[in-house]
Amino acid sequence: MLVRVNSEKRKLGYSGDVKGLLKLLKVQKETVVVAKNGKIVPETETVGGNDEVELIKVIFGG
Amino acid sequence: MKCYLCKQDAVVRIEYMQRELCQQHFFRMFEKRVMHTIRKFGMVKKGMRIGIAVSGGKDSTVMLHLLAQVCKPMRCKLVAILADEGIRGYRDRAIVKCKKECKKVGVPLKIYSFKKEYKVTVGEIGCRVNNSCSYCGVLRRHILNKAARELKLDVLAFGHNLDDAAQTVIMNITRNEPFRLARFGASGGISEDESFVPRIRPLIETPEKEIALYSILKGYESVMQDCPFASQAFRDRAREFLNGIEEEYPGSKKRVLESFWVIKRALEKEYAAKKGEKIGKCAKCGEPTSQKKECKACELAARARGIIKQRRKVKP
Ligand SMILES: [Zn+2]
Ligand SMILES: [Zn+2]
Repeated sequence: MLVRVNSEKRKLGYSGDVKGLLKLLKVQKETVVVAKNGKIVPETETVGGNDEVELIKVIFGG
Repeated sequence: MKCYLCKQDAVVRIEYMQRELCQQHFFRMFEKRVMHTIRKFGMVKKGMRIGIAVSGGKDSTVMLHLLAQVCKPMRCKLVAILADEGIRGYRDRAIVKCKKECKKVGVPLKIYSFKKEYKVTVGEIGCRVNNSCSYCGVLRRHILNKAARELKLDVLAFGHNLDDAAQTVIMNITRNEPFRLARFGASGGISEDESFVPRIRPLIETPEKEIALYSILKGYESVMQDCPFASQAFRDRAREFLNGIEEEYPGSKKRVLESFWVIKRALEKEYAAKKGEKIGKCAKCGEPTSQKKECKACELAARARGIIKQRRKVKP
């Protein structure tokens, strides 16, 4: 799976829901909007395999 | 994941509702809640002249679009007001986007610059002091109130969201400054004095993340970036704390605000005496102030100009 945070890309072996992915990456759920293969998805969405997941940071500070 | 109301793909899970929503149903829920806030606090009345404090950020952009929608049938007069504090590479980019969005809804945009008003910019102050936020905050409120009075506006709308409000409540309690909370709220003035233009906060019950999502899905152009001089360490901690709590106990931010509405009534009684506080006029700019000679903004602007002069002298 390819994860893009801001403009930084990285490969990650993960399969599960977005919520778990955010926990793994230590990103607060309230601060990002997540897109899977270019479409915005809820945190209950399953990601993995060849998915391209983008974390769009929407809340700043701290 | 599918929307719980229809068969469309969901774009969001609203954790405190324990529901997934598609784009269309998310828009509907979001707009309904803002309308409800506006009605509940009686923020908008027929024929009002409303100033919309815009910045080019997501919150004020979403507020601009929603107020334009609400105010059309009520025949209100809208004007967007932007305080340009003069941070190059940041505000100028935001202004470009802001102009586009104002044009989309047909609301005129008026820009008030710190450089013109105070002969100093936050860009200049920010490079020299580490508390530029406190200068910026005071001057911003001052310039917007002055603009609102010049434009003879009935109210000034601010894009503060639920997260901002919950942070403010937690911060004031943690600092033991409850009197500040007595003045904070969804609508009304910071003082009874008529020269303070009353404020409304239509997004005060809407979570920040949902505002960002709404803005992205609507394709609004806004700057999603922090001010390069932002240095609000205490607020950052409050934000982090509340976001952590919200994740574990969904709906917490909303409950902080709900508690605040109840506490506020008691606070208002407790600090009723302060309402009779004498408001005079600033000897320099004529704006209302509770200070003796000049107002806080004129005082800070003079200090900022002083800082810049001093540091310049040192340079070879
Ligand atoms: Zn739906
Ligand atoms: Zn003054």
